Amino acid sequence: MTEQQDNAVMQPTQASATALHTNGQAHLAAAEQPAGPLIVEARNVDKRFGRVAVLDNLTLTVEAGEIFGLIGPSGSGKTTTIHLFCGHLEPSGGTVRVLGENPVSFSSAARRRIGYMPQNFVLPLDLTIKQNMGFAAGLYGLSEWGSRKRIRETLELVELWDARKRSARNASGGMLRRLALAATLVHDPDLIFADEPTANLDPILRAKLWRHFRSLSASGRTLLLTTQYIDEAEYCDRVGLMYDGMLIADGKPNDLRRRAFGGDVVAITLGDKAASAAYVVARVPGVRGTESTRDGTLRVTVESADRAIPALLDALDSNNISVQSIAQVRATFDEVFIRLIEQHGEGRPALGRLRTSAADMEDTE
Amino acid sequence: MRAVIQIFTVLLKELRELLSRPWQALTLILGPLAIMVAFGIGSNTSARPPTAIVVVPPGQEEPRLLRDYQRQFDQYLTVVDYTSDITAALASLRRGYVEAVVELPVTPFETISAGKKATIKVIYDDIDPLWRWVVPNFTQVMAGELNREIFVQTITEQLSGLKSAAQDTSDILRLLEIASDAADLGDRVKVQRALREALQRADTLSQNVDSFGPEAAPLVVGVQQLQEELKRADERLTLSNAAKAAADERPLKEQLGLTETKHNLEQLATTLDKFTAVPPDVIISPLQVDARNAATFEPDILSFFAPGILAMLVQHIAVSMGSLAFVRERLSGGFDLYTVAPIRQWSLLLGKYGAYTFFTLLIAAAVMTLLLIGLHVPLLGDPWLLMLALVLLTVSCVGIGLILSLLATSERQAVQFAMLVLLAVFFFSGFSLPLRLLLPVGQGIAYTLPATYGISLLRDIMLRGAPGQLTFFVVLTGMSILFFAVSLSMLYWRTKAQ
Repeated sequence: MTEQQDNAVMQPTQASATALHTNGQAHLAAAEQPAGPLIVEARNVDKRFGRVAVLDNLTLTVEAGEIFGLIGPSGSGKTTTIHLFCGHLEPSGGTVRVLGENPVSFSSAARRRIGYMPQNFVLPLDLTIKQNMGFAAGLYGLSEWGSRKRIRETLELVELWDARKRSARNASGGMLRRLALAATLVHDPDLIFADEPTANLDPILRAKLWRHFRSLSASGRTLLLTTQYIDEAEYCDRVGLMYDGMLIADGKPNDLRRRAFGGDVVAITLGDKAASAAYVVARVPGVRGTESTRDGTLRVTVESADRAIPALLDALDSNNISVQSIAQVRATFDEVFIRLIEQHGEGRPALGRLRTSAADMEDTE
Repeated sequence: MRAVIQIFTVLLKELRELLSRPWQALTLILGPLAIMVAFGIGSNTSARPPTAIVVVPPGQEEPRLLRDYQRQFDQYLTVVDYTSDITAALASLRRGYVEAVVELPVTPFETISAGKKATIKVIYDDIDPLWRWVVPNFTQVMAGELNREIFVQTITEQLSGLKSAAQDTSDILRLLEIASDAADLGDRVKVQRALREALQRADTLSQNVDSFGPEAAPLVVGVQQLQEELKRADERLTLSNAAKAAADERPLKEQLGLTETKHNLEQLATTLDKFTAVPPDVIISPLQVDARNAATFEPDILSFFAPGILAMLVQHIAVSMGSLAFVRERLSGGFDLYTVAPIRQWSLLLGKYGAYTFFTLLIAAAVMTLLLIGLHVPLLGDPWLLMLALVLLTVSCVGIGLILSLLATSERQAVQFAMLVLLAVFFFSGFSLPLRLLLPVGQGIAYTLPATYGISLLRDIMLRGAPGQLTFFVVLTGMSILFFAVSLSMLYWRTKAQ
């Protein structure tokens, strides 16, 4: 796949990222706040189905009020991890604690605090949207009549209130996804496991949902969700990258970005002498590496972009190399994750796999 | 309170799903009804005589056996053709145009006269183990009727001879009275005339009695004795001379033995009366069967099968719905909602039970109403007992369905399981075959099926007016509890983390 094709794949997600930009900044600030107690904890967890290992030595923690995003290609073990946390599956090795309990033997009190949104739509198709909400509320012991206000609020959140009388069978894929999410939230859970909650939704609605996720997080709710939209990692407090059943990296989004590239990246568009520019730049203190792209841009990895840009400009100017533009590059998470997977040692196959999944996502959109 | 809401939630969800397609529910009500109506119209309860081709001997267009006994043939056979071509008749039998080929003997009466049995050959071609007795039974009964008819005719002819004999006896008795009176008066000529006339009548009587056969042996002996006595009296009268007569001082009546002869003749007349007093058909068939049905109501075929069909319908709806209850949710992932939510397994199970039981009973009530009002199937018993039987049958069948649902690994398999139960019920529940026809192994299977008890209870309550066995209610209750317990433990097993 060419770089141009890569860019084409990323464009739709970048659009949604823009829509969420303001809110995303708010998250990052929130993420800096002191961490709460551990809500979800997995230590050295293995999961095998017969001889097939699906999860390998997974260690992961999620703190109260945090949005933790599990990101990775199809088949990387994201859904299995969610099932382990929900108690549908029992680990083959290691320990899992959710809300301080073993998920396999959750107490009723713990169950009432959990919301689960499966990857597929599993609510009854023959019921109307509102009846489905009543059903979801009823499973948690809330009567349909008693929770009508909450049902309305939740349906309005996902923009389904006007379609409440429509049978789920006649709803579009996006509507079903929204209904599933609304059903997960109807009992106002403290901890939400959502398996690809934004799949098949348009960018505007995705942005709206992410804002709601942030508000839930701000009110102390904890969210652990999976997504194949890699750009959505930006809006998580912490992100775990899964690949072939392993958690190959986890941390705050910016930390992962820096880890992937070894620092900040600065892009320099040169007027001429591009060949000698790389030599000059490499000698500037704080520069960790350079890379020339096909369009003539020089990408420089530095310890800190703020400190390096003036130094780079001085060095190039003193060597009579004209600079058309210079700016810090905020690498997309597609790039970040491809780098991390490559660093993990999987090399080209891994890269190809991630790109394929990104292309698949675009197809589904 | 939370558990009640959860049970009601599951119940409501299931009912909403079921009632979201009203045409399906309507089909479940009207479908069986339409089938029952068609069955009632299209079936014949009476044992119809088998269709047959009668093969007559070549050259006999209307054999005597057919001519004289046509009624018997028509009563026990539906004769579609008479032919002398046995090959063509057998070909029709093989093609299924007729059920039997009946080949008449060439000279039946001559064979019988010669002291041998004449054979009517009956050929049929049937592999149905339940119905292949029909042709042999019908033709055996026909042969019996023919034999009886022939025998009656023979006996009737003999009885007419007996009646002549009785007349002869009466005449002889009258002549002996005349001879006796003449003897009292000493009129020897008149005595002799009367005795000779009586002797002639005795010869005629002897001929009549001889033709009766071995059954009339006592009569023959009696008549022979009479003849001898009359001859002796006549000889005594003819040979007597005055001296001999004077020597014998007894009255002439006593000398001739007329009083004793008269007495013997009266005994002979009594014996003859006994023979002629018995009608020929009593002689042929002295015993008869008086079979009476103790059932207060004899239903037609539609009414008889209606309770069974209703029970089968209830069973099939309940098992089918139950069998799909969990498997669909397990396969779609919907089951996971139950394992995450704080709903107890028993609450979930009760919700499903409630919904399926309610829906099945709704269908059953609609079908029952149409049966009673539309098809005039009687309900002779207590409607509350009928309802109790239906509820217990439904609950136990829902339990079976839910167990199958928790066993099945796909919807297809669940449907297959439900079909197997339906087949088992069809063969073993008493719906198609009376339970008494099943061997102990078959009965063992039958009594593991709730439908067996359901059909029996429904039939008895509707058509007999009361349940035959009250213990069946207890058994159905036990089954319902057992199946609930089994399905609950299986649900625990299914919701356990993998």
